[in-house]
Amino acid sequence: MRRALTLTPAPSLALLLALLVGGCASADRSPGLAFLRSGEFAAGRAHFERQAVEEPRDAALEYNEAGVMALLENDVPGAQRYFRMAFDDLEDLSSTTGETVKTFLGSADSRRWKGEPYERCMNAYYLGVTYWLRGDDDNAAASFKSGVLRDADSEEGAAQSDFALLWFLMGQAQRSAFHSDRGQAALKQAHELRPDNPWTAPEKAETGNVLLLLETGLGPKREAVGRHGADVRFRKNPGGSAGAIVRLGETLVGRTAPIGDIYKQATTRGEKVIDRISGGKAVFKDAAVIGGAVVLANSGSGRSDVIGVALLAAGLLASAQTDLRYWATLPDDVHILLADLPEGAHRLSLQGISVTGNPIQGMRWDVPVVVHPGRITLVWTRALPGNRGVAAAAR
Amino acid sequence: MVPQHSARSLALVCLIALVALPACSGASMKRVDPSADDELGGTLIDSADVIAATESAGDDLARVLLASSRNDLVVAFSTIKNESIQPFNTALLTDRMRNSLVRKTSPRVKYLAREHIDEILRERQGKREGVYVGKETKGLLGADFLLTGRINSLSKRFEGDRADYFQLNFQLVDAEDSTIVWTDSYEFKKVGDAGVIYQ
Repeated sequence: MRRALTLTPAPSLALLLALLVGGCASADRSPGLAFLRSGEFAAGRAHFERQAVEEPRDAALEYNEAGVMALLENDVPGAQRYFRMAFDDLEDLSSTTGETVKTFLGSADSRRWKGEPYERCMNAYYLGVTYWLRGDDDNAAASFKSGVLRDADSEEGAAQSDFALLWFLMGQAQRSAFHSDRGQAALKQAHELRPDNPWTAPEKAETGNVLLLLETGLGPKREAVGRHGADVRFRKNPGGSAGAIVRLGETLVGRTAPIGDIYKQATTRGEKVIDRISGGKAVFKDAAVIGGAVVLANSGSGRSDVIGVALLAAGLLASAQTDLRYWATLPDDVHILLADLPEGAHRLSLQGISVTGNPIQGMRWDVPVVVHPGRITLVWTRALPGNRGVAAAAR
Repeated sequence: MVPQHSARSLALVCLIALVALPACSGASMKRVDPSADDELGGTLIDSADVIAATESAGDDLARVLLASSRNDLVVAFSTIKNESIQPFNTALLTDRMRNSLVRKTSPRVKYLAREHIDEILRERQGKREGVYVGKETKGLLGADFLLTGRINSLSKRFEGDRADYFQLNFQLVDAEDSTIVWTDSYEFKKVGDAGVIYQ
């Protein structure tokens, strides 16, 4: 005789709990961000170095974070070592059978961190910046070019290779290094992608001997949403300045203009295989819990009980949550400005401005620049949360 | 005899242990042949390419230089331009070429260490000023030829698949009239793909 399909209270409660689990979660990257906010860059660097040793599968992520801290400390060779280690790690996208099986059966963050395409691009960006700051324009261009390819790696359609920042920097580094076409093709692409940015216009992009990069705000935060947290969402971090007005003494040099919207790059990533794996595991979790509860509720033997409990346990224990690791110290945007300065030492003054274009009170800082003959001098600086400007070496 | 279901359970436990347990073996080291492909793969320039490119070019250039009737040729090493997608230390190529050429053609051909010119000038000054004892004074040699080169690449990416074509070009340029008197090229194309969990 067939028994009626019923649900008893205990399995029903477990079923309810399991189905309710979901909502929203994100990886805790706050300790590192706290060092960035407080300006304790050396302590932040030590923190990320420790993390890299303690959790080798996240090494590339932690090296990138440590690299940002080292750059903020104005230790360009140190920053380059971190970015280079991360770069080499991110170039290798192979996976072992064990790693693949573990990712399918376990949590998504059990695999080595390779970042999203925008994070891989930003690693190439920073590596290029550090090469340039050390006077190696050739390898700076190679790094930016590699970043453009990383952008093409997994996106689709119009979003493919649309990282105007990298095209622009590639063109400028090629111009500085006297490569075959002096960067014209790359600069043309940057202008097509960001015609709204006045510094990409050919009459400006192909002149000037000083390129200023200003990073503003904090990059997007990665969150898990949807059933069992299987879906990824990027949340834009509020705040940050809208660029800066740049002066040389009392002379106005110009106003920086944005070219590297990191949030946009993060949200045009396209679907990944890992998303489908997490989605599949979310379906499995629900199916296993429901199946286990049904089997238990209608069990007529010890063997059925074991199967029911096993299914329920598998459903409850399986992790469908997406990978929450993300590069937290990235900026929200990168601004550019080109200037033509005489050879020798100068000090550029930057005044941070709000989205309405008004000067931000107290957000003013100087950047030392030494202009060398025959090449483009790169100036890298960052406007940190709390409206503080930090200048790094310029070369 | 082990019951069939027990054997299955044992196999399952072993599989889970294999997958779930972190690697707990110690660090390993194995010396490998730098001129052979390694197990790590990758589609960019690696040690095998550096060795293959410089061996072939070094042999050929040494032959050309030794075929000259002159015994006073002077060669300086100029920068090899990297216009590829790979951040790369081009001194890996220059140093290997220099080692090969010095070994095969010195002393008939002289090679200049221009990257040390500042130290050399300081040393000369010290000797001229009597800080150091110098045995003889010589003039700094100018180069008859510059050995230079360029790395180019062409790449494609699609959903984790990648293809990279590289050219490693060497040139010997007359330092007086800028004519190219010798060239050599090493090229390769490698394809690879990403693991499914990174696509």
